[in-house]
Amino acid sequence: MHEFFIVQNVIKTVEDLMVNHPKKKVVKAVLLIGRFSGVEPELLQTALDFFKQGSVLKDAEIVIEIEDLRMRCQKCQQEFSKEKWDLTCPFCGSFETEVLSGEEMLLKSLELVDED
Amino acid sequence: MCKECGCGLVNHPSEGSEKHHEHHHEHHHEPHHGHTHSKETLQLLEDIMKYNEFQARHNREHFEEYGIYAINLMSAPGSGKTTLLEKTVELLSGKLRIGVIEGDLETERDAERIRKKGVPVYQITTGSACHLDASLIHKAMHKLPMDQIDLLFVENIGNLVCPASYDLGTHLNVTLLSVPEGEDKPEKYPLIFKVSQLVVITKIDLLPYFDFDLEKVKSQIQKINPKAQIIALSAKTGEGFDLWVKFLEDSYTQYKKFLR
Repeated sequence: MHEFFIVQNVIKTVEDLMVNHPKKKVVKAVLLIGRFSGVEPELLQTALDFFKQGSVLKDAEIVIEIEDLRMRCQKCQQEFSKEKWDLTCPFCGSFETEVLSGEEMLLKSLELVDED
Repeated sequence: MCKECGCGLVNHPSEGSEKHHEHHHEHHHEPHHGHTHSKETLQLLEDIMKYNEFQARHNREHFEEYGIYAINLMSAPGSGKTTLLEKTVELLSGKLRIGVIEGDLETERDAERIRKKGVPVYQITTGSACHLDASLIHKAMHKLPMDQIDLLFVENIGNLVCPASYDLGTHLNVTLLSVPEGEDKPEKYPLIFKVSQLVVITKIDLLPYFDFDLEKVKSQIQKINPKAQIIALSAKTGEGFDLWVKFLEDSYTQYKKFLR
């Protein structure tokens, strides 16, 4: 069910943006979803394709780009990516790592054309 | 305008046509290269969760106005959130004034249990929603006597997945993990452990009967969230509750210092 709430937020975000673009319609929306954002991209895609009917995104192709988990170790300064959420540095074993990407839930871009 | 408190800030994602105040976005229109067609691309990078973030920040301001330290309790169903609260109310009686927001899909049962302990409770029933969000908390907090509360516990929906994604505006995230759930839960549901400043391992009186290696679980949690503190306790025997109560009292004292 969680994905439905994300969809509501996506649609609201787009609605707010479109106020500044009257007489335009969205033909493509690109989302950037971190692998560890808490959202399942496949479910989100299905939910968006379904719930976009009747919304500002009704004519839009929805594209979801996935962002991998990338980290940097603050001790040895190495950068690395991980399949699992595990903050240990694979090079020096330190826990002092910072997450660079992989947690985001962003509306990356919108493609607009004139309304018919 | 906010209906509950007249604060002029509203970000309920599902409601209203009002614009939030901090709306800002940068548009970088692609050049049209002299074509006459009207296609344009907006490069945005807008946070999809921003409506909840705004509301969460607003909730936090409310809590701070009243000097309330708010704690978001998360766990799977049946890990002992309500039992932990019942016992906490008893132990803090006469020391700190407690208030509770209960989140459940259905029934007032948990709220009833807490109400019997003589503290103010507001029950949110979400129907089918799998998590609480900041706007639900905002509505609930205005139903409670805010000026009579020092520690506000929010008992989130029993779920190890969705609640992790929603900032409620509370000051502390606590996740409970009970011994019978098994030692693999942090590895299976890392997100909720990642957003928690404290992990409480409950029902440790059952350790002799389960394959649950406490030290292994602690090191697993450390890999996911090196800064998380861990407290192990049992509501049955009372073991570990001194640490939990001390943690709450210290956190509250520090918070009050921060407010001053």
